[in-house]
Amino acid sequence: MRPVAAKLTEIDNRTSVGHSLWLTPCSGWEEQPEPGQFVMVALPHPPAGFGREVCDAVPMSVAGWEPGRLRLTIKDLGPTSAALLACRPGDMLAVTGPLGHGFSLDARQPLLMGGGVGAPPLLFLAQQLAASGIDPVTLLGGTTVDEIFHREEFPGIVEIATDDGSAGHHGFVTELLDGRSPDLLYSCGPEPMLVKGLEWALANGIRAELCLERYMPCGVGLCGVCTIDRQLVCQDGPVLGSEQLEHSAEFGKVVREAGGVVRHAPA
Amino acid sequence: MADMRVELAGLKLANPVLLASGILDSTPGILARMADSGAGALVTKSISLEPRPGYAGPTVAEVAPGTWLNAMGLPNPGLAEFLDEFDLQGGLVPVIPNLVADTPEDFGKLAAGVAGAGAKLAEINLSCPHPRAGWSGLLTAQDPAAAATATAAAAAHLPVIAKLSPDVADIGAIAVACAEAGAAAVSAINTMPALDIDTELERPVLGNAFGGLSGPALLPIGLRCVLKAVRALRDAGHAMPVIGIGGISSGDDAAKYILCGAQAVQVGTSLGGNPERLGEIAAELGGWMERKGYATLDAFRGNALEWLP
Ligand SMILES: Cc1cc2nc3c(=O)[nH]c(=O)nc-3n(C[C@H](O)[C@H](O)[C@H](O)COP(=O)(O)OP(=O)(O)OC[C@H]3O[C@@H](n4cnc5c(N)ncnc54)[C@H](O)[C@@H]3O)c2cc1C
Ligand SMILES: Cc1cc2nc3c(=O)[nH]c(=O)nc-3n(C[C@H](O)[C@H](O)[C@H](O)COP(=O)(O)O)c2cc1C
Ligand code: FES
Repeated sequence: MRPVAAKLTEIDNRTSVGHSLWLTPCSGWEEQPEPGQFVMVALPHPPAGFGREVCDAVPMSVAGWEPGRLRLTIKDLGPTSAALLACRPGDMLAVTGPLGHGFSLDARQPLLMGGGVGAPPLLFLAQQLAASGIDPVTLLGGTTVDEIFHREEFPGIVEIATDDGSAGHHGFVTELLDGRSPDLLYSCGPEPMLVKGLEWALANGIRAELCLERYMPCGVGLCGVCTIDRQLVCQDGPVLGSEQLEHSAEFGKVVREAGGVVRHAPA
Repeated sequence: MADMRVELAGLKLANPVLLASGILDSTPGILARMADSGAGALVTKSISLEPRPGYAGPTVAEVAPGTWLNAMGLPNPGLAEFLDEFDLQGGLVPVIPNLVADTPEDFGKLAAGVAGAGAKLAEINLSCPHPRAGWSGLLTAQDPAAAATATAAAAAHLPVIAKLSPDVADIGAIAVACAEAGAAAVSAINTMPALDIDTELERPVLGNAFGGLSGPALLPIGLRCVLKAVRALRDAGHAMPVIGIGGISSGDDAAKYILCGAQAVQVGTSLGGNPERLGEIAAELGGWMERKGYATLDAFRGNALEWLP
């Protein structure tokens, strides 16, 4: 695994907080990645108006794929993501991947629940489920309507929730869970949402697969910083099953920042 | 079953296959998993007095199958948080903190800190392959006098293993200097300073440009360094043990280091993507010993030395 130069060929799906990039790596990516897998995407040169300090590699989920091409959907969360969003078609990035273990495609009646930039990997999952003849139901949440990525692109039924009521249900996306009976809950997004999703799934005897985020210095299973309990999120995850998280001492409680410094998640 | 027990600076270890610093050892959770995988002891990532965030990425790149270049930038939460999180005294498998500093005074403070928290043995990283301005790593590694001063400062507080670089003219002289400064052991080698270039991007592959090479390509280099250190120590009349590191991915590789005189070995890169491999390597070494009819490690340690020119 190594960083491979990749040309930015197309930008789509613009919202006020981010957009999608289509990248064509110089080699690889002929085989379909698993939904939920991710890349370490690096900025080898700063885009116009940025300094070298933005050049870093950060993890991003695969939001879409065609042979030889991949799509990332990026939200402006800080210096490197902002610089990635300032890149123009023709600019060169570098990608290492696909990395980690993704979602299974085991469900017959799947329910997908995404929050914020949790939507991109779920879109790729929904497209693959639909391609195998399964109609997913998707719940998407965000603080406001512009923070809900890809809502027009999901196959199947989509329901929306916004914290400010600017679209769909006025409240948290997890409030849309009650009364449903899927055979599998797939979820990606902020950890407090994942915690609620897991509680709901366990209470209802439903299996869940949750896509987690942890600070990732290497992304390839070498450094051991990205752990949740004894599991490496970059390698055993980022998608972990309910059985791997149900007894976790760290899920929803402990995350780390650069250097492995512990930051306790807000209650 | 072959008896693989070994003593290292007063610590009694169940087997001589240790986890190397910086690989799968950044949190208590992953360290517990590596202990259960069958490690003889666990060396933590390098800990500095103050937190270090690490370098910008890419931090790692595979440059040949299994062989990696890395410049993580010694990411660590700093001594205080490290001591808060990690248990250095309990546990069935000993934890050996690895310390990094730029001055002998700071090595002393770190050593005092981990000794106070119950550590029985520490490793000092004298050999970071990709230091920044003001970071002394590679300079300390080059200079026997500087290595000795750093060793003495740490050894005043607890037994220490001095970790050496392959990128030096005479590793034997540095090992002897560390022994004379009071080291309990030396470990060799750290990664080999190296560079890779992306021809599409026309820039270094890693965010930090320079990195350290590890994995299978390092094995022959590590063997030579260990053999030279073992011989120099023996010639100078020091019984101090040497720990072999670099490119080990099988029990056979571990046996090579012990045949060169190593007391124990450490394994890093080959565990990437396969943490449980550590215990398998120890089991393979046991299998090799049985096939050869060796009941203990002492029965074959250093057997290759007599062939030295
Ligand atoms: C498996 C995985 C998949 C992800 N997928 C997406 C995605 O599809 N779209 C998207 O917009 N974001 C995604 N993220 C989050 C994305 O990696 C961060 O937004 C990005 O790293 C922010 O970097 P920054 O320099 O812009 O901001 P900073 O100000 O540096 O950080 C903002 C936040 O991002 C986190 N972060 C920074 N660097 C890293 C790192 N190396 N590893 C993990 N977290 C980091 C910080 O802890 C902080 O919480 C994903 C993260 C992970 C772990
Ligand atoms: C990702 C990575 C991080 C490392 N971090 C450290 C470190 O913090 N301190 C240290 O002394 N050595 C560090 N090393 C060096 C290893 O401990 C070891 O000496 C070297 O990798 C050679 O062994 P190997 O080929 O088995 O990996 C690191 C190596 C790698 C690959
Ligand atoms: S990010 Fe380094 S092991 Fe997961």
